[in-house]
Amino acid sequence: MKRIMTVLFMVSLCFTLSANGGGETESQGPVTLKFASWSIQEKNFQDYFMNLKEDFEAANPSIKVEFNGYPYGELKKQVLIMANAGQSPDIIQCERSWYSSFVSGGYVAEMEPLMGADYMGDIYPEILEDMKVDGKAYGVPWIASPFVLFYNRDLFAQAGLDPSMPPSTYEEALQFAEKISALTDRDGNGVYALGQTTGAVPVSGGAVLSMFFSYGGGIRDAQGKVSGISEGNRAALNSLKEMYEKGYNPEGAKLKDLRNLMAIGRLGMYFDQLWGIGGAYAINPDMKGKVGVALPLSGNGAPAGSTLEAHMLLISEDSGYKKEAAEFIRFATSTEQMGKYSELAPFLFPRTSQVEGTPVYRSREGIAPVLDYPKTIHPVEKHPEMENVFLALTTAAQMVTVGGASADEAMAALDKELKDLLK
Amino acid sequence: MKKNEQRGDRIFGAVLLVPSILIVGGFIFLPVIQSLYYSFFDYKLTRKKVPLTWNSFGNYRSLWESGKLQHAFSVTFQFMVIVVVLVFLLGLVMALLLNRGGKGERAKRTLALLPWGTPTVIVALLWSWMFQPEYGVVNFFLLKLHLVAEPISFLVNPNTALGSVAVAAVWKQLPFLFIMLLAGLQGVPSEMYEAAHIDGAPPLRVFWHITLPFLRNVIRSSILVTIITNFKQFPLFWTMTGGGPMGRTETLAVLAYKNAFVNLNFGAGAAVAASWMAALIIFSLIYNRVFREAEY
Amino acid sequence: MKINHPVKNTASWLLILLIGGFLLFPLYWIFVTSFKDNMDIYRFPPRFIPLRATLGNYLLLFRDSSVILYLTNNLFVSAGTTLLTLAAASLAGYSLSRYPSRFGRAVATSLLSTQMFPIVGLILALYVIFRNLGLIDSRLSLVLSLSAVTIPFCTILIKGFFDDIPRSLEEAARIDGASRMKTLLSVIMPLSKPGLLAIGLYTFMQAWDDFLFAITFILNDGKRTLSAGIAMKFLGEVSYDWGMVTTVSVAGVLPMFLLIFLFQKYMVAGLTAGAVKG
Repeated sequence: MKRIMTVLFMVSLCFTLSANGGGETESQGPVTLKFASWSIQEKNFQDYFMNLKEDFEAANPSIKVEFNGYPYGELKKQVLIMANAGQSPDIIQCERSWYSSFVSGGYVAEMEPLMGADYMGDIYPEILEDMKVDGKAYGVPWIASPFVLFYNRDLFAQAGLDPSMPPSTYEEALQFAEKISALTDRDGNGVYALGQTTGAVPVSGGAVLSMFFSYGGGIRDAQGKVSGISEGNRAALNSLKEMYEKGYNPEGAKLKDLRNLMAIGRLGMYFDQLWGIGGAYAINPDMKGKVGVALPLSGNGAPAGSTLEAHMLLISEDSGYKKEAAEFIRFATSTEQMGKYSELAPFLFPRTSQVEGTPVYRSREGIAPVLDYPKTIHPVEKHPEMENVFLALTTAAQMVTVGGASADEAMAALDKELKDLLK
Repeated sequence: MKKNEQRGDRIFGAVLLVPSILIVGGFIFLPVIQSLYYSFFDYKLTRKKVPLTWNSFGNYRSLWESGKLQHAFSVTFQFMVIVVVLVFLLGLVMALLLNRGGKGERAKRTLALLPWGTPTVIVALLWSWMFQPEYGVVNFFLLKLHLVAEPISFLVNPNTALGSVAVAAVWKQLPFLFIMLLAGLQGVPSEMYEAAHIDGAPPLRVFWHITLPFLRNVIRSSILVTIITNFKQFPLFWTMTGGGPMGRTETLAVLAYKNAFVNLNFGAGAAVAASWMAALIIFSLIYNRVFREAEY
Repeated sequence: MKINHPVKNTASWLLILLIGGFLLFPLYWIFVTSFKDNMDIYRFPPRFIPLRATLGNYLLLFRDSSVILYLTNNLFVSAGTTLLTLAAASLAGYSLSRYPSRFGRAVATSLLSTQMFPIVGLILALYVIFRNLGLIDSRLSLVLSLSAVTIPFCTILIKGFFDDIPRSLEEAARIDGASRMKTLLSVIMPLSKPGLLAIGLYTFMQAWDDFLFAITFILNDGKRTLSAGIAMKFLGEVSYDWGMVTTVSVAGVLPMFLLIFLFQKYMVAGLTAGAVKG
């Protein structure tokens, strides 16, 4: 019996541990690019992406594109598993908080040699800067946005505020909030005035960090040392606490929750990525035209700030078809394709020539007020633990709100966690 | 001849096991052994494979020293106890109440089993949605019945988050316990009850001295399955709370996931999983011993 | 245990109503929501009967062929898993019941122990195995991995059934000259139908519920199963399409309901016999 066991074990060990085969290269026939993305099969976008694929294949007969779709929350894990098994997809759609993981793991290729200096030089310098690690960018921005402020014009009018005059500072926003929170909807439910996401997901951490930036805080002190303690952070946390205690902000909300509330007219203002408002429109198409958009707010006299929010396109270091992949990215980010895509979900073009060369786009209602966005962007770390840093930021926000802690206690805990993560 | 027969039996007995050994061995046992192996090494999920370095229990030590492992154990344990106790008590009550036979029994049981057929992904979303503080139906009922003055943010409040995930778990698992216990009850010979009835024994005593002993085996196996299921519970947490608020729902499963796929520290993730398997094996050994001793 | 006292009767009815409400209300809520449009879904106070009932979601469902495809794939994978598990677990259970040995016990223990290992911890290694077997992006990979998860528990359950069948039946068959295998197939298996049905249903339910394996080993939409498909299509990055999610859920849960309704009698009988033996 023992012998049988041993043989079985050896046999199976062989097929488990055999060396990672590199990317299989087929020499003849069309090249097939694998594109891992969470957007391609979402109901709202699938038609656009099928057309993109067909257009690209028609223009490049020697290249085929295979879509590998995964749900948003599963994509990072999936790419890691596949890359570790030597089957990395060629092109990867990437979210802000995962970028550092892919770069620090060495999974993705440097972009400039593939895309060319002209393409890279056309990207807004603030955005490109934020994607660089040791002077090199490992992806290109596809759709971009800071955390902008959306507001419901109807509710502004009902509260006696000027629907064409959104606040520009947090102090102003809190004054507006007092008026808005006195309103009720047609069913008699209360209206939330000012939504700031604090749910336990990385993207909410980016939103909290943006708020810190806007108050002149951040996760590094003036000397560039990691620190969670600063005047700016204290002011930001105190204002979060105020928003929570006065019932302006739904507690612990994820961005999806805020979009739902916006859609049903129970939220006056909230911070979101530009394309996020598409979620509200999907629920209530009548909201189109009733939502105003403004740049991030400044707090405590500090200039308005935000993290860069972007979907990025990355090329796998293991890909056998990097050149073809770059070709696809160039096609997908062409002005024509970007124009079509942005009809479905508003976003900012990350390349200067495209913004300047497309007057239609620049004058669009949901875009024009925030075209100045690049100047609000603060670069953040490209540390492998960044995703955890974002989560730690949401924890700090939860501490001062549902946790009932003081701003100082939350900062101390954050400081300890940051120093532990970013050492 | 006899000897030949015995040998044949042995070989036949072993051959029958081969398909199971191949499938479970190849697709569960081997990956488990491999992960256990990685848990002793500095193993990061990076593209360039560096030679594995033995880090003398470094993964286990740093998890222990950060306090996260103990915290996750405690959260997992609390969750498991809440769910197992609720599922068992409610399942038992249902089984006792619906064990009367008569018309409509089949319909009633089918209805009671339905939540079991709902995919977990949907269960998680459904309950997150019903627990919503702003438009959730649970808060609507609580407000209407004047049980609360203000809506509760079930999944965000540190005091209610774990319990709220437990409610979703109970909803999905209750039917399984119900059906197991009902099956057990129907195995109790009716003469036993009749004898007790003639003796005029009070119902509670009948339950304690006749019903429960008969259910012992059902209870043992079904509770063990429930314990293992809830110790392993991942999708409910990941979808409903993501380990928040403030780490209040960070279970072993969430911790293992975060280490392996958020931090890319696969060795540490494997160490969480290994500690947890060890705990479960020890637990089930004790569990079986306790039940066996209770028999005599 | 008969409860006849009127007060107790009322109390027990109340309990049934409470627990029944807890179990059934969420299902009712899914059902009702599938007939609402997206604005009605977020109404507060909630509408328990849709004001403007719409079949829009169902029309969309039937127009979108992919949902049917997901359902078919799920059915295929669940059925395959059930068959494989039934075959492997019944043979192993029979071996443990009739030919007990140290080896058998050791195998049973180690197979059961590995069930205590979390799936997230082994999914990477499992992916590598399927890659080496060339099974990535095949439904067979799901059948194999799901079977590996269900076989140990089913083996233990079915062993209980075999223990119940008197040995004299086999001895008689053996004396008549039937081989061991023939005895098993023609004498024992027909007698253990309820047990096989019970573990079959258990396996089917487990396989039907799978999300993690499906999302990891399947790359293309054409082979995707139900939970993964729903997540991919309707649980988007920026919003959830609740109307569609609930509609697809109703479509996905209906086959389960049918199955439970048709087979629950056997399942009760089957699970008991196995479990009571332990």
